[in-house]
Amino acid sequence: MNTDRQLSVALIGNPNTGKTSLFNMLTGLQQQVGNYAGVTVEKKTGTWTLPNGERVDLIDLPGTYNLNAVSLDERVAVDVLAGHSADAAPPDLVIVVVDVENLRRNLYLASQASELGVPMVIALNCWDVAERKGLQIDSKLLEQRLGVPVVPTVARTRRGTGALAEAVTRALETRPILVRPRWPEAVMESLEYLRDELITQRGEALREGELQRLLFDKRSAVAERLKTTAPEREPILRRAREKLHMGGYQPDAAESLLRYRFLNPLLNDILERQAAMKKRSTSESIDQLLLHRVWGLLVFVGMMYVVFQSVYTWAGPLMDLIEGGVGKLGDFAGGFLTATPMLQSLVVDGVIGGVGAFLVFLPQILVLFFFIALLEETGYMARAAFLMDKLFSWSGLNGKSFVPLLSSFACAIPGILATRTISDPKARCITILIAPLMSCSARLPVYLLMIGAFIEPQYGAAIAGLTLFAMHFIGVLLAGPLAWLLHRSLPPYVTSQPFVMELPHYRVPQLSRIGHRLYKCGSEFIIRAGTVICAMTIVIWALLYFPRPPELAEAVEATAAETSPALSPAQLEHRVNAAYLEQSFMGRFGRTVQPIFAPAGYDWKITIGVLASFPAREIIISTLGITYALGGEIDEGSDDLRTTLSKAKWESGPRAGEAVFNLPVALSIMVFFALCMQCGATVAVIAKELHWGWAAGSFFGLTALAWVAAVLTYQIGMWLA
Amino acid sequence: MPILPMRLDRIKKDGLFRVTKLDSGNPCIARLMTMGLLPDQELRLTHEAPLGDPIAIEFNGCQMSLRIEDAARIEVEAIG
Amino acid sequence: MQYLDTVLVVIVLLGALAFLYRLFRRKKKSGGCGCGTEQCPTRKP
Ligand SMILES: Nc1nc2c(ncn2[C@@H]2O[C@H](COP(=O)(O)OP(=O)(O)OP(=O)(O)O)[C@@H](O)[C@H]2O)c(=O)[nH]1
Ligand SMILES: [Mg+2]
Repeated sequence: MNTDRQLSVALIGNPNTGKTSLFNMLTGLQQQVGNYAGVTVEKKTGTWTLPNGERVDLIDLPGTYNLNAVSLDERVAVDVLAGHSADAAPPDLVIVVVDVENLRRNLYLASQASELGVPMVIALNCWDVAERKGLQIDSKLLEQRLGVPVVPTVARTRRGTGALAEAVTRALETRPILVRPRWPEAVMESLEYLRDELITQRGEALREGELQRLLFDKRSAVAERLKTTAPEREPILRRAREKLHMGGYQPDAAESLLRYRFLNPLLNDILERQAAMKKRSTSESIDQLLLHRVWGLLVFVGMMYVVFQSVYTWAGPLMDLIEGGVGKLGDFAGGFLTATPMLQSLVVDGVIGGVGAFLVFLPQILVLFFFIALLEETGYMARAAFLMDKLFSWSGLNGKSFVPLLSSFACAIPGILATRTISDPKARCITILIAPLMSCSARLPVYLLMIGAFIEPQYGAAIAGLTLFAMHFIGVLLAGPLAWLLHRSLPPYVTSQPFVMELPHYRVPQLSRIGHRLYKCGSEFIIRAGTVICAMTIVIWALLYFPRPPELAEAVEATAAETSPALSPAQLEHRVNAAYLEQSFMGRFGRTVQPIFAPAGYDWKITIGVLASFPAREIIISTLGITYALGGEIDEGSDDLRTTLSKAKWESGPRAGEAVFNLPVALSIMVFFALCMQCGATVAVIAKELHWGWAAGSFFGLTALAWVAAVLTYQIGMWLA
Repeated sequence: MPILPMRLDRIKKDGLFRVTKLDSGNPCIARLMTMGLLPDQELRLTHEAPLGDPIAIEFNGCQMSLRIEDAARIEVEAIG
Repeated sequence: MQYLDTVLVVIVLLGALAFLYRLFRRKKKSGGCGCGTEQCPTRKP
């Protein structure tokens, strides 16, 4: 063995068997875990220290049922195993993580992997479930028959990881290989033919296992890596498969049949006991309700309703607390800085006004994430996808699109990455393009602000929750037709999409995991508020504060003294502030651009809020916060942003004196934000995953869509009112 | 008495069935085969989505959902 | 006092700009992520 390089150990296995849980336990990292297939879509690396002090690279891979590698995430796993990943040598050892409940199916993958010649250790994970269900597996016997170490583990509680570490340490020395099937004559001949044509004659570097992939898989990723060109290799591959056919084996079915024929006797008496438990599992009984034709849908809708409703009802008290704290802090800092008025404005109006307005929404975001975590950890996600599949299929998508789209409700970026599990490239492309329409959590503060200011006070929490739900739904509503249009206009892709999805057993979520996720989500929200949002806020404050010629104040005071001498000092100050704001850099810009948004009912202050939030949506909150703080509303001080907004009046123009924010305007703003692609990071990810042309297209397309929808909302609203 | 083969998309819920024939040319079925759905495998139809598509089948202790059009390529016989 | 005021504000502003500049340059390189949720592959700044 070469010792100058750190050894690497890869975790492979079927989806949802606990690879990432094990990875987290062994490396101390915290990668995403969830109870559905396809949580991990990328290769992740960490360092694992073995009992003898040696440090190895541990690689977590996406789950895969076989090495045929149809979808992108499966391909990652296969490439790493075969050593074709760009940045990694083939692993020195693989740990096959096996779900004890599905031993046979899981070992199929192990058997395929063994053909690539990598040493192997098998982790029998979810051992606790087996114990609870009375499943007895003789791991020692299995070990003898398979020829590689077999270690029972419970990745959730760290049980068995010590034994696993020891087994791996030993296996790195002894390099055990799983027993391999003896292939029948026909297979051997076809393989021999391939070896002769490709390796001997054309000098390809291929392992035995890769030859098998070329022979057995109709469309193999291995083929694309060959030096031999497609026109040259296709006849060879076809010829090899014909040989197999003539030998009496259907090429597409041969591998499954033969490999299971080989595996079955190995598992014989172990599987017998499993077959004895035929009665319905708990999961299945729960599903009788949750997947019911009528009740299932009702539960789904009800669940969504509860989620959105509780975002309002649960978070209220905490929000008040934060709001009060921010107000106090503003007063305190303001008093402290009276000697330096400019800095006072920066700190009080800018940082505290802007970032504070944003921070208030932390509790509501935590509530939403609590529910998302709960759905992911219990295993309901795959059920929801099952229920929704038909809704997707007419627009060319499938249930596999559901999980990426649902995680786009947290953030479009992980959602877009999760589309790697979709094997049909066209469906994947469509899913990526509509993912930004799912209402991500960055939009939440905007809705919360508008709903909190204009809907909740008048119509109550129930309608507020419903509006919030509607805002999350509007994107979905438009995504359907959009997907259908794309489906019709994009050229069809040749292979059909194999839509097979596992419905995992329900699991009781671990409170510690959910707690950890909330902690992480909360701390990142706060960090974001303290860094990006804060920095942007300061810049925006400056653009709204400068220039500040002293003549302006004098001029305003002079005209005020002439026209309306009865003004109180406070009112006078307000006028001066408003005049300054209006002629600030941002103010001038906003007033120039405002006509574009006039049909949607926006004044120049909203306009600059919208424009400032193109890099990141949340900026509108802090921008509005600063604008109104600088504009100096008369009874400022105690008011939070929501109250201030509801008091704002048009200063000039045909509607001077009327409230800026009426219900149609508030709705129009929400609709605009619901649909607009105001997220630089998402555009970048689309460009990376598809093509920059798609990224630009979706940016302009969605922005135009948002504008049209916002104008329609406002105009229809005003017409109704 | 010979048992009549049925297509999986036509069967009723909750009975126990045995696979008799599979169309391995269908990518979806090829996938199920690598998961162990082979001739002679026993299976049950456990769930149907609201509009009857997709369906969920259980075999070997795992539940898989597949679409009706793919299920039509699997032939089964009732065994109880 | 007014001098001090100006100097402080300018320092804070330049600091913010420098921070943003560095952030967006770094983000371009890593192809970064934009949300700060746990699912995010790259940590949000
Ligand atoms: N009861 C029990 N549950 C486990 C065990 N290991 C993992 N789980 C749960 O199984 C689910 C899947 O775990 P993951 O670690 O995300 O599985 P994965 O193999 O990485 O899944 P993919 O990335 O989708 O391929 C989670 O809900 C875990 O909490 C275990 O030993 N016992
Ligand atoms: Mg994983």
